[in-house]
Amino acid sequence: MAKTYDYLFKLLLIGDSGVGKTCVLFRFSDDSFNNSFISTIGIDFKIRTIELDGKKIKLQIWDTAGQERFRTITTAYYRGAMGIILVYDITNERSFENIKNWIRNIEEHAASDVERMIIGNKCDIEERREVSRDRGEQLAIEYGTKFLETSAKANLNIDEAFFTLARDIKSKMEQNEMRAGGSVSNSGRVNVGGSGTQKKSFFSNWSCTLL
Amino acid sequence: MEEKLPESVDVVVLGTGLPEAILASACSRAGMSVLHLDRNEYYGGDWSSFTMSMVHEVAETKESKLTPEDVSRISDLLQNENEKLVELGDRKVIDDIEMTWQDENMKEKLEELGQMRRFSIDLVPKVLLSKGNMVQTLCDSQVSHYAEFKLVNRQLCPSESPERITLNPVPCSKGEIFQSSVLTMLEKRALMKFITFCTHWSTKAPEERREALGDHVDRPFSEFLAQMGVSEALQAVIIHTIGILQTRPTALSGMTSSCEFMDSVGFYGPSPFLFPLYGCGELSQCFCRLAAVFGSLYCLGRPVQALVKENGRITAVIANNERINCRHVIMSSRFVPEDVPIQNRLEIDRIVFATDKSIKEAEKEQITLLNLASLRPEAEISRVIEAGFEACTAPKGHFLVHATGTREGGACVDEILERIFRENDVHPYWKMSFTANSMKFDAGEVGENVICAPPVDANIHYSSVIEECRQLFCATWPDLDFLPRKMKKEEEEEEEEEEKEEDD
Repeated sequence: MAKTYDYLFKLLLIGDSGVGKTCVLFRFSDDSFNNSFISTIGIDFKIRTIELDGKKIKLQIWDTAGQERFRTITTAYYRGAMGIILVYDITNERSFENIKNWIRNIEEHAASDVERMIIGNKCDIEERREVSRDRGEQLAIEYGTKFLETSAKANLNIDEAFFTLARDIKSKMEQNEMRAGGSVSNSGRVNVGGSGTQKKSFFSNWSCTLL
Repeated sequence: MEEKLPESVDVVVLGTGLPEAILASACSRAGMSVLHLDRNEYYGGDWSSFTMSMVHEVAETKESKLTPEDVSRISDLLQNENEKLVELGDRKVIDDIEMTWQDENMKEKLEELGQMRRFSIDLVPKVLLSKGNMVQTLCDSQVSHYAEFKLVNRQLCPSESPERITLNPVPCSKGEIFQSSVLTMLEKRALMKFITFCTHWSTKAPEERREALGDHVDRPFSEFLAQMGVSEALQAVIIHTIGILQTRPTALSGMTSSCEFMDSVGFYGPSPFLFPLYGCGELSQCFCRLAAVFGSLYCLGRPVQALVKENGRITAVIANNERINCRHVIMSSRFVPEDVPIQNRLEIDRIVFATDKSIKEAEKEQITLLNLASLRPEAEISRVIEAGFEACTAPKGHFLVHATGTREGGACVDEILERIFRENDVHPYWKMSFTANSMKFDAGEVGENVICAPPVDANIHYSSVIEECRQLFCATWPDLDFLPRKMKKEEEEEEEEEEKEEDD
């Protein structure tokens, strides 16, 4: 049977506690919004398959599981990530300033060629704005990333953010496919716990031949 | 403005090493509120993996002794006169650390190329048995989502002559046995006979198993093999192959290990062993991630100072000058208060070399397990794991060679390894050596409601760690399940459907 997607991208959401990462995630994956703030519990990752230039792309988007609260994100969280969305809250100056720290964190732990994007969330709450759009754009220019202001609540630019990042990853990937890549070979990776990977045990093998 | 720690939780876990991480995830998974603390900025404690640029942190000792001012400050947090402060320990689990660059040019070169962070240096290198209970737990709990593995695709056992140590490949699969040049045709036939015997034996009940071995049951495995008509050369191969699981086997332990070994062979591939990509320290982090997903709160790099004890129970933990009330405390041996006597202590020698050439070059890069038991017959443990770029633990073309040994007998494990390097023209450019102290304590001495997590150990795989964690958990919370299968959400089911379709 044909594969249900052409590409699988692992994406991460990163940013201070309370900037709306989980809301952004739910808006994008389930088109739902919950106004009350609950620290993220039980959310591992969400999946949505999108279509770009006729290709089906399965986006697996990982939440921080609350480990950003004391800046204790496991380095394992960054493994294999192809794109990272850095989120700040336009009504919270500090969350904006901390983007720099998160970028430092990414540079330390994520793959060097990971695609990045900065989004300023909660742009529907104009009356409490602390970070101007201009400063957001400047920061993005400084780090050479794309930038969008979003609102998970009003559903502004959420799809755009994920589509933009996915498009960037896809084009980078297609370029890399043309050049032969020098990365660790994917062959031989064992998917423990995935269905259908186990082969027959040595015993059953032997019993077949010997008994 | 720093966030405050919670005032009260069900369980406080001290230390983020693998056993603590497993227990923390089991507690949060069972619905308890968990606060997980570590003095280090990094995860993994004495089970961590380090990049070359961070590895010096393992040797850095932050002052954690309480000053009189500290004591008077935190004494204010006591709530009644029955409560007393118990200062937490900072025991040296990893000790006598020495690190040297034997080739400074290589250091400069690696720094220049920004490759120092591509290393992942394990403090406790191990492998996973494909059908062992660690893999089972990873699958059930779905912690397997967070980690990737590769097969240990080469097992070597040495034979020694005065001129050199030869590293012979150990055959694992049926194919390898037939292609093996170490064994004669007759020996291959005898081996097949032995494997058939194992197949039957493994299906028996424990008592029948003992009976089937007759008088040999507690005698050396080699004697038992000899009476089965197994030649000395083949005995050596069998004993060395399973020897990585069992150093000095009796007929019973040898048979058990043989079955364990053969059971795992072929499950994910020709080798029975898996190695975690990016090193073994990943596993602690993966369990911490599961704990976090189920609501466990993480706070690292803060002072973890004292316990509050009242009538034999620990009622609170004091960390970051804050009081956290709790019902239970789980701690790694590092945190056990200094006045609690050590029940049992094992010193493990660990040496790590960085090289730019494998100990036995091959066309394709391998992840290698080398059992040195035959060269150090007195020692309980002597083995080597070599992993490099393919295991994501070193830059391309580089390897980390991990030796683990216990102290008994003559030559140290690193002396033998250095001889192997010399004879194979391998020039390690970096060396680190340390002692890992495996210390056991009576948790009751600390407090009735305290669990001491299993200490670092020298076992080749994780079966005993996970089993000890399960037992500790079940003894404390007999009504709760230890890391049970996760309830499937619709989305995941859909995904599995898709995967199945792909496989068809």
